[in-house]
Amino acid sequence: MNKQEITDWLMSWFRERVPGLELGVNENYIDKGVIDSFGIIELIEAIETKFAVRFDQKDMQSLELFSVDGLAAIISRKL
Amino acid sequence: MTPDAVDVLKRRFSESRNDVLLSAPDGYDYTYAQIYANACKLADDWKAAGVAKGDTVAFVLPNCAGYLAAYVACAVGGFVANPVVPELLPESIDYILELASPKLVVREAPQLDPSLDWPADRGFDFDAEPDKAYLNIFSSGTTGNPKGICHSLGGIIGNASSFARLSGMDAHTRLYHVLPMAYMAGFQNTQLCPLLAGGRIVLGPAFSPASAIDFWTRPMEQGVNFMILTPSIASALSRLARDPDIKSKIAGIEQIQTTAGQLTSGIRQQFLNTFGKPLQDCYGVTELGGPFTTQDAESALREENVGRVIPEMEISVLEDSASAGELWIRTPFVMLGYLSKDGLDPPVLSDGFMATGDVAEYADGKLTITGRTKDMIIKGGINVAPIAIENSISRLADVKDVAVIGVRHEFWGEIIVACVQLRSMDNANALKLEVQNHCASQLATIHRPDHIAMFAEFPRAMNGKIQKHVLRDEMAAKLSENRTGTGK
Repeated sequence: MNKQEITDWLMSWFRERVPGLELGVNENYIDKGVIDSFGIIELIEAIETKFAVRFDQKDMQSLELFSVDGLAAIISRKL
Repeated sequence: MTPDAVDVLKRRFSESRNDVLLSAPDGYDYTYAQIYANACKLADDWKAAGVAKGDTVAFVLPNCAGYLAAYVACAVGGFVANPVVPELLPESIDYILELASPKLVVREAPQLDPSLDWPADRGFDFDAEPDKAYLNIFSSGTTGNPKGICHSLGGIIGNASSFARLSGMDAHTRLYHVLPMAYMAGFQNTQLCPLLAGGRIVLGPAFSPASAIDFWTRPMEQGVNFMILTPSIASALSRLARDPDIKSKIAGIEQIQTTAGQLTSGIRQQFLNTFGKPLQDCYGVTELGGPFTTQDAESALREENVGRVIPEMEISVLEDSASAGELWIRTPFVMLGYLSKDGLDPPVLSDGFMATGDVAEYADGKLTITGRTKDMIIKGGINVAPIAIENSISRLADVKDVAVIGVRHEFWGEIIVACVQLRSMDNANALKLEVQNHCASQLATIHRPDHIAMFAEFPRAMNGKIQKHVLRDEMAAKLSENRTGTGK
């Protein structure tokens, strides 16, 4: 799966939760209030299940974690 | 005899005058004397704005370093503290403010001044009176409007002092604070208890996605040895843990209590496996003064209960058939009453005991909560407590969360429905079969769910609690459709 396909999957994951969502791939989805306090856990677990990858401590402390583009980059590196 | 609450406060501030009470996120450490000096400044500012002894001051504030000084300021000035959760819907905030009728609404976080200190030759005075109103706490009810619960200073100080002793808090306690400060657990368990014990509060960011990712760094840097979490936060931390050395890094934490929610077997086990630390469950009722039981760390490794009870509490578990198992409590720290438009509605007591609405067992000095009376499922005339079923199902690895509810049924009265939230819906059918097999092998026949429904997500309240009433309505509609053949 290439980075664009990963990005599409991530955007569809967010849109399932927030219909009509307008979110740029470089925007911080936490700052925009797209998901609530526990939503990021759901997101990470969904990614790990979908792509059969495992986030490590470095990923969890990276600013990339908080945007769709950043997430897609993390996932791409692991595939 | 319960010591005078004002004397307790005076003695604590005098004895701990030069000790650090609050380590704020901005890097400043504030001593007891500095917090008192800042509280006096706040009290003076509020008096200048027209607030008099006995008046209510509402705080519509997010967590902040100044919150503790605001609570202390109310004791200094004899005001009634009325915290309000700022994330509530505007109409709920309006309702609370109308009911509480505050003289002043504080909407900007009070700024602590590190240069303020209290002269060494001056004592510590508090205008509050032990038996008068000191605190209005609004509960986040699942239906209707929030309920305003009014406590005296004596009730709050008495309960907090006793709970701090039961928890083993002392001058060495460094407690990490991440709970919402406008709720009872964010005030009494996590601010007042360590204060009365002469300990220190290390203020962290209120739990959020960003703070969850890097949760452990600040408490470890600050030498924290005591934590109070909610079960939801504990579960989130377990699920987000990625540091292979985390067990050794947090070895210095002596106690981790959970409060404000049901601690399932699954969360206990997941946390223990991840961090090597047991979660020590607590139990409390806001109307009865706040937290009043907890497990010690050793017991929490072996037992699933809410632990021992503070000595001032008298426990009664009803044995009559109508309300079998319901927990009643008699305590000197009971609330003054519920706020109403006409003043205070006193608590309904029977021989001094108040019904908690929870179903419990009490043996060997330890309390076990087995359910809520309103959640109790009565199937064919037999009472079935959902918690035992929830605990069993929560042990399955692919189960993220579980809520067992009763749904009305023509023949049985109610049937047992297990709503299961999965980590992934990809294999939902196979996992449903696994849950069925697990229940068949692990549960008594009467406890086995009649229906199992799989969920990707649960409806939840703001604090993460599952909204069982929403699930109940949803499942009742779904099962009704199935029975009448209109559903698919």
